[in-house]
Amino acid sequence: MTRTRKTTVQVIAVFVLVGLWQAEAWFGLVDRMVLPSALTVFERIIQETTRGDLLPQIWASMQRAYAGFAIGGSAGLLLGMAAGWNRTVASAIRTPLELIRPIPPLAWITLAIIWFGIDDGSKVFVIAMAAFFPVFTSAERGVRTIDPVLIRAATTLGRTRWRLVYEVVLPAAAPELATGIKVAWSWSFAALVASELLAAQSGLGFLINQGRINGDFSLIVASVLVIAMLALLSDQLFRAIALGRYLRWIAP
Amino acid sequence: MRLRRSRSCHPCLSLGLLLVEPEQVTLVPAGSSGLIQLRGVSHEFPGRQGNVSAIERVSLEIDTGEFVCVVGRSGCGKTTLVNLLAGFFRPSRGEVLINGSQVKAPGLDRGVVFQQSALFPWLTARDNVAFGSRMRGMRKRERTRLAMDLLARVGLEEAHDRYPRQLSGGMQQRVAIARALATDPSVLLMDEPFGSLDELTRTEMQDLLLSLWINTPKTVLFVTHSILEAVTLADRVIVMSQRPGRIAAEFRIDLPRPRDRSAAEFISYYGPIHRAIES
Amino acid sequence: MREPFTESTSDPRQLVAVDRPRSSERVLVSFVRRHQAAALGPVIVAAIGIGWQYASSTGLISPFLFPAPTVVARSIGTLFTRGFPLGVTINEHLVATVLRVVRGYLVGSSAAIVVGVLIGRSGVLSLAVEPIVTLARSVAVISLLPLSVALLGAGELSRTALIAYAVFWVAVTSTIAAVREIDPLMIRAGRAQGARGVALFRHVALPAALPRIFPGLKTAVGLSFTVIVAVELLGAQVGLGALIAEAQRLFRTDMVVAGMVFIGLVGFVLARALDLIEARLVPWADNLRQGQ
Repeated sequence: MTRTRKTTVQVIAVFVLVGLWQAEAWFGLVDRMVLPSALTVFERIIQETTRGDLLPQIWASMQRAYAGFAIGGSAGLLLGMAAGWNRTVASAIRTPLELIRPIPPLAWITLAIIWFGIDDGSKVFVIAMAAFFPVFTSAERGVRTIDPVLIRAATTLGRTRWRLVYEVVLPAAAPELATGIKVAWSWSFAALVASELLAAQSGLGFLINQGRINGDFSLIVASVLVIAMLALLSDQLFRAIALGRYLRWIAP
Repeated sequence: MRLRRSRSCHPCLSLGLLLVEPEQVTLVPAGSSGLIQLRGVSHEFPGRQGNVSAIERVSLEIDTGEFVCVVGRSGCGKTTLVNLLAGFFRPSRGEVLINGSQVKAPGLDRGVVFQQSALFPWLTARDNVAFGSRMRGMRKRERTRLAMDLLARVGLEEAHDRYPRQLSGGMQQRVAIARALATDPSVLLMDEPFGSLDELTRTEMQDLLLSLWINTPKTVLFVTHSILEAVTLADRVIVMSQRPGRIAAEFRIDLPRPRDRSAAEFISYYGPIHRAIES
Repeated sequence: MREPFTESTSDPRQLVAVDRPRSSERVLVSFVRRHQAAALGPVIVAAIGIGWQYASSTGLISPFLFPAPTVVARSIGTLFTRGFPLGVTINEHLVATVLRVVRGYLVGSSAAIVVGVLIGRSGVLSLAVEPIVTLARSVAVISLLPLSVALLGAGELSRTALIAYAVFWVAVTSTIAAVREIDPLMIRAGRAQGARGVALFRHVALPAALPRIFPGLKTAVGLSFTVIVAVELLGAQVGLGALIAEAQRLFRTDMVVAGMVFIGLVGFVLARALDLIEARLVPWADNLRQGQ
């Protein structure tokens, strides 16, 4: 099947889905109070964007998500690369990390609230925990499985330690890293939403809570949809960046 | 004439010997089981720019018990021939007949051995061989006995509870042959079965195949790249040309078996066949 | 005094006069050397534990923020006896959480396999469904909690539904992919052996597809655990998430850590459980596992 054919089928599918949703609301299959019609929700989204404060809330959420992602991701990157490079470091940190890994990121919110209070700090901490492990795992694997021939070739070409890292190690580990970073972002985003639902004064999770308190279901559904869209968008963005800049040398 | 039940079906669907799909009932003139007939067979595949002709107007008749090798370059349609005979799909034009009736679907009267053994990785060697019998509805004890018997004939009795991944390439192909033989087919279709084996194993397998075949009236259609293999095994060698696939030449190998691969008469077949392929 | 260079000398060490250690010492040294890499991890953990214990009990770090391991151990003990919140033992929490996970997981995964197989058989359908699945997966499952509760009540049903939702989309993705990637050679071999229709599906297609379904099933376990902890944190009376939520509300850091210990344990066990199931069900898939 050709590419255009494929896209057409998929676009039609989405329209069918939305159509079904609207039809369902029209027939009142699901309580219209709880699941408003597609049109109502779209209207609400537009309304919140223009007259409401949807954009500032999105911005607040994004800031937290990004902060946590950056912190957790950098930590994961540094530790992961160190572990991948040096076997001793790897065995040293592996056990403590393996003990912590099975704990879902959101579970940390409890400790985080005690430590950092109910403000942004606790949420950023949770998000950082969520971002850490995927990046750590992929960085470690990416560095560990670098073909040693590449390293040897680079050193014979007279590369100093740091340039070696920059010019050889990072690009070689990039494909693996890219996957990890993508996963880390989606986990961070999920952790963001969850932690905002739990305790927040702003952001998308806060909006959902507002909707819940006020029985404002169109706001809830609108927020859920906006969150999903943002997640999709950032996923596409990552894909484009990864395939564009760093991975052009890999055949698709 | 005898009505042969070529495959069992769900018990509640069968009424005596009448099967749900009447095409599976083959009226076989006694003594002519395993007769292959291709009449003006052409087949096309959809390609990027229109249809690609795989084979064109192929007519061929293979007698019961004959061992025929098909040789030719890649793309000459050898595999398509096997697939058509096996019944995986129907020809675009022409008739494919086994024992006088059209081939419409795969059946247990034709055993197939593929180049990549195609053994089921989730089953042991024994269960792989017993698979066809299981599909037929044979009871466990019987089919296990049958499977073990066949594995013994290909020399793999001890390996019966090993999984394909634990077997070497040669051993896998032996299991594949045993599996194909398990349903007692009148026709054996083999598509470059020894192609991925090393030279020594290949020779062993050729000898094994001949020893299995020599006492049974099975018709064999064997596709290969190797002229050496073809002359070793076949009563007749069919050379196919490529694009589109047509029968270019036919050679009768009039040598008694077992054949001496270093004998002058053996080697004398080489030249003509090679030339026929090249032309 | 031996000649340093003799023809019969094969061991270069004998060329040099060495004070060789006694055999028992040698055994010990080689043992340590072989295992020193592996031992480093637990040693570090023990060191951290000891340091933490010291710092917390002497007040170097706030014992409120960082309860000492012994304090946490005592709290774990309390969880077994008096329970936390009072009267609710750890068993009740564990059972509640695990049951919810299992329930939601079974519902979600079985639906996913059935639907996935049906959809996977059609190329067009798989294509059409793809954007829908992607969209549904992008939804943060926890954000659906208010909707779920509004529709299905505040009880177990809404929780099961949420877990099932999370599991379904992940599992259906891998099922569809697995069905579409079934090796056509396997199908041909099956047909040549007389398998058709339902038998072909049951005895050939399904086993052929199973190894590729498992990665999705494994991800789904971790996901369902994450979701249930979140759900319990947000609103439940019993369960590991509820436990740590209550502990946090009462600022009982020791109980929070105790609860998290159990959370980690359960998470680990659940993941391993599926590894074991995979090993039993698809033992032939080790080439696939190596690729992960």
